[in-house]
Amino acid sequence: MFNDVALTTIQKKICMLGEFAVGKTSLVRRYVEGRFDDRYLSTIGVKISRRSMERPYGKLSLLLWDLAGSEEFNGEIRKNYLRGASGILIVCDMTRRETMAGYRRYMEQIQDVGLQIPVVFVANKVDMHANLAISRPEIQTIAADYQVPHFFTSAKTGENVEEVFLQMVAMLNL
Amino acid sequence: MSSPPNPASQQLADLQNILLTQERLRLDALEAQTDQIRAESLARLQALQAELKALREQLTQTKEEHRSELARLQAIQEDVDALVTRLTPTISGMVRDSIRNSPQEMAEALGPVMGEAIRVQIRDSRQEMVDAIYPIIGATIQKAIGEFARELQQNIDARFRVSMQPQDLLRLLSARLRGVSAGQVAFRDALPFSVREIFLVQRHSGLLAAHSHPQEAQASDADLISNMLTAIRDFAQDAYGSTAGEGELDEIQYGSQRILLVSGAAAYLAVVIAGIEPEGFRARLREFVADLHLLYAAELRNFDGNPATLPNLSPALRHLEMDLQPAAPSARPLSPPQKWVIVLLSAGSLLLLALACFYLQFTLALLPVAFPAATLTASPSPSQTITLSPTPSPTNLPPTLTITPSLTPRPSLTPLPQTITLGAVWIRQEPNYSTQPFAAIPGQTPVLLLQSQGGWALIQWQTANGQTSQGWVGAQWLQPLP
Repeated sequence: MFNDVALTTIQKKICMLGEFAVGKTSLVRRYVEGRFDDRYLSTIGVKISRRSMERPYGKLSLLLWDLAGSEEFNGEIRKNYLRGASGILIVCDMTRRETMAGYRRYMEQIQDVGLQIPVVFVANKVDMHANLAISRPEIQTIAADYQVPHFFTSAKTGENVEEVFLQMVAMLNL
Repeated sequence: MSSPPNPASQQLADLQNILLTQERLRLDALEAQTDQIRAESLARLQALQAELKALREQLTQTKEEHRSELARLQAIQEDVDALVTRLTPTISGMVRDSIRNSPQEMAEALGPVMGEAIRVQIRDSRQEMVDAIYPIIGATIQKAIGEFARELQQNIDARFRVSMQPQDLLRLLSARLRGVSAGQVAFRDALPFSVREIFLVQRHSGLLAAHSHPQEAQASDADLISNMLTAIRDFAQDAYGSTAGEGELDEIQYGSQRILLVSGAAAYLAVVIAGIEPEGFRARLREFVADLHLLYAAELRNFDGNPATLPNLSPALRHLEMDLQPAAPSARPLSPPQKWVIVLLSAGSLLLLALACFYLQFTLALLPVAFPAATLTASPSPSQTITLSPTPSPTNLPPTLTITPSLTPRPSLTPLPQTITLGAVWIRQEPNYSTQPFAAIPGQTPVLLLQSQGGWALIQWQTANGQTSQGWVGAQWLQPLP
């Protein structure tokens, strides 16, 4: 006999974009339940994890699509992976100036596919004070240009990581 | 000639004698002490030289011993067999002690090299390895084949027990025309097969719309799996599909299990199966997806992950699963009481048949006597009602007799249940998905349920031009009216 499993959890697909090695995978690793190996990232270009949380309106399941950095796939994200997404996190590495250009490029690609969904800018590796190559005002400026919220995070220390997801959930208007 | 002593010099000498006597005595004592120390040092030096000489001789001797020992060790090292012979007892003892004292550590230490060691051994001595592992692998294979044969036998037994349906006869005939024997068809039907899990997934996002899995299985991360399946489909589409809708991934195989993917415009179905699926399985899945889209295309397309925005489709998946599962074979062959019941029923049936034949013959023989002036009367006017039983076959009467219609009453029509369709549904001529639909009726249409058969329902409904029509539809799309 089979069980017909009535779904009670709200599912939301969240995509994480960013250049190679900006720390996308590290950002979510400490906060998610996952059963898939990191090798999926380099084979099919995506690794999926889940972040569950209890909200006043019920159980919420964020399905995080960690997309491989664009350099790994000829400079473009696989646009099919963005379909049906409810929110997007774009991550840059504060110690590598060139990764900040990803904000503009990914925003253009998101607009190309016609997505009008919440976006959050994440500036990662803020704990590496001695090696910072991007200043906070620069991040604030580009976030203001696109009118999206931004967070300075550290996957290493956990600083602001939870806040990023809470902000995304708040923007989902559930 | 000596000059007379100078009085001054004499006085000076006397004075020196008086003043320096003590110093002279001390100087003499010091000289004596120095001579003694010198003599002792000399003696000590001679002793040390003797000792040094002895040590040197000892060192030379030790060096010679070491050299000879080194030469002996080199000789042993060059002789590998001798080395192995000498080391084996020691190493064996060490390994034995380690395994006994800390088995977990030994397993962790040896684990990484075990695979490589086996690979090397297979490469170098394949036959020896085959001989070594045959007792394990052979038994496992025998067990698996035994289980397979047992399951096959049970399936065949079960199929012998079910009655032959008209569509089965058609299948057999069709297979025969294509050169496939009835035995091969029966064997094909009896191959073990089961449905493990069913996912209904929104096509673009990968969000899970419904899920059904066996009771005995652990609830899996269905939402994660549905998302990953979607990513894999998208990847395959990107990598190998040239145009939209072409070259979609329709199957993933791993080991003995497969995931069959059947896509619709808004959602796709992923069915995890084990074994060889029966004929028409994919057609049934496609039909289900098509029916689902007829009913819920908009809801599936607009599904945003909130279950409140989508009807509960899990019961439909369960119906599908029940429809897809092969007839569960009985685990045991017929018991002796069952066999006796069958024999008695068969004998009873034969007896009743003989009695009926006798009665018929008796009646026919008495007809000229009972109705000497019987004339042919008009046949009953055709009825507008629906008959549930086939028309009785005409009875061959003796040529000398006039034919009289049977007075047997027509079967009475029992009230038929009124139902409505749950949504737009396809109507077919036969109760199977291999026949093409000939009509579709919209949802909430009242229909008359005429007959049910294996998950299918024969219905009658009124068409748009006021005529009635009949056809078969999947029973899950009907809902009885209270």
